[in-house]
Amino acid sequence: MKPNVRLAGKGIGAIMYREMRLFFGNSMTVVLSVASPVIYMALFSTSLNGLMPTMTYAGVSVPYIRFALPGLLIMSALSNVLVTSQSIFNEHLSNMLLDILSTPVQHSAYMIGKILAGASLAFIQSMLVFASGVLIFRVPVGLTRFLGICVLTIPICLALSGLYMTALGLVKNIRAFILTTNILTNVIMFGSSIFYPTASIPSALRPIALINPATYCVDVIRDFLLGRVEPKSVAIVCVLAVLLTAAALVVFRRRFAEV
Amino acid sequence: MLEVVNLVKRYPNGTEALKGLSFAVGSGEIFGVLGPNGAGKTTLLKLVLGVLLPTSGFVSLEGVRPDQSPAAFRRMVGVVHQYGAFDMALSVVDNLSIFGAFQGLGRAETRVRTAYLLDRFELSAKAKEPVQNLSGGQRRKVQLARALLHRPKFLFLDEPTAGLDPFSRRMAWSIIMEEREPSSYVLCTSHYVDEIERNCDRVMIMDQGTEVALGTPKNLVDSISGHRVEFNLDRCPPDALIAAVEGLSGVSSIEVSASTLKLRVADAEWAIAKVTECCFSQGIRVNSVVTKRASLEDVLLQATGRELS
Repeated sequence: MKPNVRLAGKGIGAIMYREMRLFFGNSMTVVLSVASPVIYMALFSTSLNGLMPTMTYAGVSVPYIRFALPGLLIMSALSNVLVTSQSIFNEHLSNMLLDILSTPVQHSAYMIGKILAGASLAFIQSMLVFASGVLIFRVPVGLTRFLGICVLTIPICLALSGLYMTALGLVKNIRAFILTTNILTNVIMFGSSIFYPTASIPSALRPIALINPATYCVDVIRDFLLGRVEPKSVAIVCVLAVLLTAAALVVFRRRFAEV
Repeated sequence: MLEVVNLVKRYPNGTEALKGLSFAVGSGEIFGVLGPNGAGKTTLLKLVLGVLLPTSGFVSLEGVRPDQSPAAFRRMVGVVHQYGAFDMALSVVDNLSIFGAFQGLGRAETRVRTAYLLDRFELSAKAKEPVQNLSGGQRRKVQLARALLHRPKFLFLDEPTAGLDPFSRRMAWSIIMEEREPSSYVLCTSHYVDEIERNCDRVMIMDQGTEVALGTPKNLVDSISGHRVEFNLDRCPPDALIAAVEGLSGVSSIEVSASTLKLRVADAEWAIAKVTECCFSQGIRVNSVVTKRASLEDVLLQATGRELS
């Protein structure tokens, strides 16, 4: 292996290791990241499940909590990638980015490390949501489907990480970034099939749902959970993961060419 | 050799931070950069490191250019930035091991070097402490240890001893001297002029993005002749006395601070005799006289025509 490639690999590994240390080194972060999806799940299963005991999806009537579980999984992943992408801004402001980029770690290694770390943490959190849905709220799912959803969550987390990191590169300061990501998160959540089926999305929001990566991410998991495998949807999610990761890399290199 | 060739940096707002700077640092040399705030020192060091991109010109360290081979260039470099950052919640050891990984060091090597450097900087007892519990001076030492972790060929030090007490400053420099290879390069900026004078082989004085003086500390000091003489008087000097002293031909500058008259003169003995005579004629008593040889600080002040801030 070429020395530069080996060094880039080590850089990515070191960035991921650092992110994990920062996450798991803070017990409050760990507790909150486990608690918040469970609280969401409890709220959904009590309030919304009471209002809408069942939901019709793809012509089939399903309990609302079963319908909502993939959406909660995506929301949980979204909150995690949001934190990771915000950390890049904080590192820029605190000069940590300057210190890191003064080592052999290059922009691409830093960004890939961040995306992979963000996606890994989002994956862990999503799996906790999913596990709590299955174990606490009795959402029925077999082992094969559970494992399939685990695998599918990887490109989904990569796609969402890439989306937020790209947004990060397009704005100039932390205030603008927070406002942008707040708007983006709301548009992603309400302009997709997280809370309701695509068919029920208000007509004004439908064009947004069509270009919204979250729509494809939620639907592919929902289909899988309900026993329908759509190869086209899986392919779309994988393509989104690659495209959005590449976009994040390009935008980050341009945005932070100088630190 | 570290070569800096015709380096120009113009920011998008039109500010020209560097205006065609060129110099070379030889193998084994400790090269100091002095200048008032805003002279372009930090911009120069960031350009040398490649984290800022030059508008024109280039930097090369033994043939490796930071703009063409950034990873290879930075493998050779250890950096202490003026405002370095840490992962505050992580321990000192964790911070160092993460940077060891960034530099491509193996775990075992990082562990050995970390233990050694923490011992040298007298921080072994703080190894497991989160960095946020450390004082400013201790953090600066950790930053220095981080820069020295991988035995870099080129040390880039931007205000490396800022915030350290005099004892720790001396200790830091003795460790830097001890750790560097005979063939390694050091490029250093500092507002502690005495530190630069004591430790650097050559010094460049910068002002407004250009070089205004370059040489060994001794040559630079020798280049400005004369002495500084301070007269402590029994009262604030009246205008008539100041005018009389200004009229003396051997006085190149005069500064009044309360009851002290500070002069730069070519011949100290002659000045003491003449100024004492002027004071006596105006009924002013001279309480004491202090004579100082010119220092690098005087060179800096004279070369830039400004005060240090």
